[in-house]
Amino acid sequence: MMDEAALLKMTGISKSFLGVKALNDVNFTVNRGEVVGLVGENGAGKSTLMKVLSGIYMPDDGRILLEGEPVIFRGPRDAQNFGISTIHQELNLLPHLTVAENIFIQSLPQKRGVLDKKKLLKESQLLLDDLGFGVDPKTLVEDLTVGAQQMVEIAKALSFRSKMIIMDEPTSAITEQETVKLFEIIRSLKSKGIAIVYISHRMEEIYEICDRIIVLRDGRNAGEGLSSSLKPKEIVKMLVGREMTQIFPERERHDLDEVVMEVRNFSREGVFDNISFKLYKGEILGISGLMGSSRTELMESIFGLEHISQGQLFLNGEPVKIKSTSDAISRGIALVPEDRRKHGLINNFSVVQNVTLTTLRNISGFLQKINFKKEREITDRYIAQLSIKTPSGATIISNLSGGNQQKAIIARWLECKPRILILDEPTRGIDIGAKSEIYRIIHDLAAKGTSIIMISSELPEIIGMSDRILVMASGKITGEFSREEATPETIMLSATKGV
Amino acid sequence: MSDPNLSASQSSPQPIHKQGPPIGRWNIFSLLLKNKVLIALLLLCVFFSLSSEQFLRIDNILNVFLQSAIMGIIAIGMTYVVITAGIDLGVGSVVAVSGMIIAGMIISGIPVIAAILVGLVIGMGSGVINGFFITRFNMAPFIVTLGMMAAARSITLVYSDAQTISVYKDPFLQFLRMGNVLGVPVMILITAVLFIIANYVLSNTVFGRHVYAIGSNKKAAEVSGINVKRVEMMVYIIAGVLAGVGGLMMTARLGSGTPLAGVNLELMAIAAVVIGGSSLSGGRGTIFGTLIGVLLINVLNTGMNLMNISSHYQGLIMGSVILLAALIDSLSNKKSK
Ligand SMILES: Nc1ncnc2c1ncn2[C@@H]1O[C@H](COP(=O)(O)OP(=O)(O)OP(=O)(O)O)[C@@H](O)[C@H]1O
Ligand SMILES: [Mg+2]
Repeated sequence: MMDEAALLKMTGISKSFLGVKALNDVNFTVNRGEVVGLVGENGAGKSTLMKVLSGIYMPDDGRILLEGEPVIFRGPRDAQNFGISTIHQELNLLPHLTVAENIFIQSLPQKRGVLDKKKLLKESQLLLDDLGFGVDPKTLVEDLTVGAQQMVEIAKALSFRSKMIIMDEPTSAITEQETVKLFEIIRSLKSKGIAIVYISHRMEEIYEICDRIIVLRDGRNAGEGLSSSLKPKEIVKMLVGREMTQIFPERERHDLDEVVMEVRNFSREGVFDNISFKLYKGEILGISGLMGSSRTELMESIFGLEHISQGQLFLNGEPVKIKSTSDAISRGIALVPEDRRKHGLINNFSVVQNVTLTTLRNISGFLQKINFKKEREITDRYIAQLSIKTPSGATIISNLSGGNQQKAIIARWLECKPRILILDEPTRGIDIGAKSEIYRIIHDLAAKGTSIIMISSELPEIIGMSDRILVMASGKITGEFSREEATPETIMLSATKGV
Repeated sequence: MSDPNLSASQSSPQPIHKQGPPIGRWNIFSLLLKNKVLIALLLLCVFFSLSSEQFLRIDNILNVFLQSAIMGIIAIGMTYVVITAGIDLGVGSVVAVSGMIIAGMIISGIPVIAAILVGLVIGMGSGVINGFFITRFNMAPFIVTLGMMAAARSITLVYSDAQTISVYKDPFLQFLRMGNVLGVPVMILITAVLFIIANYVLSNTVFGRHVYAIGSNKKAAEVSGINVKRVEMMVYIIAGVLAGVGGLMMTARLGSGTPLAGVNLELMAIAAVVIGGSSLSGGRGTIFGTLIGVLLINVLNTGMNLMNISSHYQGLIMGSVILLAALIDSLSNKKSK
């Protein structure tokens, strides 16, 4: 495996943050034209290792050999100059600039000190054509979908003549078609001899695209192997340090008789149209559909974040008008949002402050004085329950790994103790161990009478968890299935109806 | 050159603004370490006390605090506004208008308490107007409060016909001006109480936490059930009421309502707030930092006067020091990344 021609060899890499050992003596090798899958639980150190490789962090210890030569990256530019580009977990494009400008932002072509627009457009068009990506280079990046933005990042990486492109959870926010497209591009890059490091929590993807798989656990190497010989079971064992037999909790049938919420004829001009459904007490209602089917918009309307042009909402048979999110919350509705960065995180707040944000009033006394002790206790409970990996509750949330941030946001909404809990892609970016923990919590809540609406693009999750499944396509409900009727095929068929 | 693409990816941990009990145990050393601007303030004091023997005299020290009183009260409101990522350019003019109207009403024989109440209500009203336009129509705070700045100044001039209204003899205002409790001037006392309350509210209450949350990520705050518009409205009302208090103090201090009272006061307050470590892009700042910022500006003012530095040069020096102090703060933040 570690042949002479290794493109990159990292040995003995260690990195600590304020006493947190994020990486501990990690070895990592990539060969030319190879797709390496990097997997590990939330907080295992994947992103940190890649940030060391892309020059963002200096390692405390260890060596990096590039094509046999020792190199030291003092900054991201260094790494780029050596042909290593990174597409980070959080995309970093400049939204108000055009595609072309973003691709060449670091080396905008100039003619006598003025931006050479012609050359800029021509060269970016060449790169985009090369990728087979049909977008006008004059488009503003903010008008692109996340998937398209990733393509721009890839084009940008190619503009540096990269030998290696790192993709940190690239598929966590893109549609299935975009994923297919991404994989095509990865294969074509590979055939050109460019190596890819591919980070994901989705096992199917790892197997589909990677040649070799490297597993990290708690900042150390936990094993590796060729994807042709390594079994998924073995990987899971390396990942979590034990065998995982069952991911979805056993769900006993129970009667759906008491309607807690009814949505009648919800419409919003150009977004969704004439949506009606009922939600029963103690039910887990899965909402499936492709991205862009307006599932998120529908839930935001129920939650009072967005307005509807028509329709009625009934809670326990009473017609209600929800005008704001605080309205929704006080009526017992909670929403774990899809976009963690925009709608969830308060970046410079600690974990504690993030977890208690919605429920502060409940733990404040005279004159709204916050009970600091209580908010710490509440948070510590969730840190234990959801195994949120953090030095303490006082840690600033932006220092947590992506998956652990997501768990903190879920904790915020669980603490509301809602009667209706809406979860929008709740397990995005979360590792298998934590996923099954979250499934168990959802299941237990439902068993105790909470009604759950769960939007998910992952079919196994939808099928494994839901009592009933609604499928949406282009703003309409195109299918409804009971747990027994639902199969991946029937769901996909409804999801592509009328698209 | 810094790389714009990577600035966001370095998962920049913002310095922790203490939200719990403000400064924990009053450990002077950790306080100094955390607050470089405080060091700058102390150095400045040392410098002035070496250059002028009058600097450390009790009446001069009281004078510095007196100078700081009005600016400090304005800066408190500004801190709240700035932490929500807003700005209030109108407060200087509101100081003038409410100060003037208080003076005018006292002259026309209205009981002083009623006059003061009207002055505060005017301050509050200005905040309601600002807040209304900003929250209702999503207008930029800069523009709305710039409008307030021009309008309130103009109302002052119209009301007073550009004349000064003297209320020197009013006994209550005299008490505010010269009275003291246990040797501490009343104005300083009022200011101190306001600082303590403002600090408590910002760092210990639900409202204070919401102020930070909105400045840090408005959309997420809204999704989390915070009534963003109401908090924003409150913040401008606080700034307005405090401007009313400032107007009262100004009129008491000068013994008259003057049409040009409070000119540039909003800018000095903003400078103090930023020197004190608040970020104009929101989410960061403390009342304690603002206090340091206010004191720094006024120590410098007083010190320069004591050293007989020509007023032509004073602006230059003041400008440089503000720049330097803000630079220290921004550098020490970068380090902690
Ligand atoms: N800037 C930082 N300051 C402090 N701690 C950090 C910082 N960056 C990462 N960490 C810590 O290092 C550990 C590894 O984090 P990393 O982001 O590499 O995890 P990951 O494997 O990418 O996880 P995920 O799958 O959730 O994205 C975590 O415990 C995290 O809290
Ligand atoms: Mg990561």
